[in-house]
Amino acid sequence: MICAPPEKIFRATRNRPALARERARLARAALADCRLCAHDCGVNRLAGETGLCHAGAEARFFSAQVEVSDELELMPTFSVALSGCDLRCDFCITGKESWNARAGLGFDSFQMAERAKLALQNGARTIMVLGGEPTIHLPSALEFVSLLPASAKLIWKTNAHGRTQARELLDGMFDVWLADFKFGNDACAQRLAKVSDYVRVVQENLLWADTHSELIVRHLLMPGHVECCWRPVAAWLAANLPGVKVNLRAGFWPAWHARRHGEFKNSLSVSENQFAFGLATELGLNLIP
Amino acid sequence: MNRQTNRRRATSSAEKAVCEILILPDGKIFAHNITPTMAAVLAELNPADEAMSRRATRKKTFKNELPN
Ligand code: SF4
Repeated sequence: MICAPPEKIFRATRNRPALARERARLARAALADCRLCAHDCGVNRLAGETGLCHAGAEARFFSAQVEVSDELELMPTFSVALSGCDLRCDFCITGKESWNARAGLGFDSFQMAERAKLALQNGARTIMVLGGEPTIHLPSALEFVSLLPASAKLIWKTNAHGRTQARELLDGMFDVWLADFKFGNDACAQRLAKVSDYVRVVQENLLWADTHSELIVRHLLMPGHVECCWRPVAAWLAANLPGVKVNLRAGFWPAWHARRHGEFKNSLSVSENQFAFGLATELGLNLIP
Repeated sequence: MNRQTNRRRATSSAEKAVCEILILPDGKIFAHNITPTMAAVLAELNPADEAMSRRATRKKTFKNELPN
């Protein structure tokens, strides 16, 4: 009999609420010299300065609802989307809110925690914090975590563009990191999301997340980017994170400013789709629905 | 559009359950932010879509859509 290797199971720390409260305080203080993400702006958000994400000191949110569209093993999830992001992906499906940290409503951690607890009582299996990008709102996200039951399964849905400081504050707070690896090279990242040094930063975050939580990596297949983006991402995952759960998403739709880019005038072709999934199989990736 | 209208729109999009769908000319349907109720609708539209049926069954485990 061949036994499968045991799955890594991470449990967020049992005193998470108390620890999250303390971390939220530290995260708020860190806004005085904000270096939460790899843009490393060093601006004082507490004094009204803004960096590349344009976020202020207080988080806003544009969606909070129970959803079933993400990874099946995490569904149903109570999903809270915070406004604003530190990337500028032209094809962002929630571009209007993700590019605008002032979109939506003021985020009240207490009220949102009450809604999340009600969702759990009604049968939601997880609570997901996402954006935009939640890293830019770490103080509010951690305040929210401090008000949730220690036993709740929490998902951190991220673009994996955070810095060491953010990772240290997040350590032990979320059971699952659901992280994007969008671009397989820095040129595509620069052209489509206006971010430099993308690949190195994301890889650093993924390696960290794999040793500090459960990790699921997402890649959205983009028309015309199977060779330049998916192939290197797939090869790197196979070599560096063998067995990691990968959600390869084929539902690209030309949202937001996608039409600025010629290759996004069409949706993913059947042959690109087949090739991408074939490559995943060939490399032995652990694809999940 | 005045500021008042902007604010009202922001409020409604954050407080109501929202699911966006896109139907392409070839009949392909894309959806995101799928709520349990919408998953049930999409599964009815295409019963052969196994992935959507599995999501729709999640509705049975979820008692109520949240009062938003
Ligand atoms: S979160 Fe990132 S982009 Fe925003 S101010 Fe801080 S370092 Fe800059």
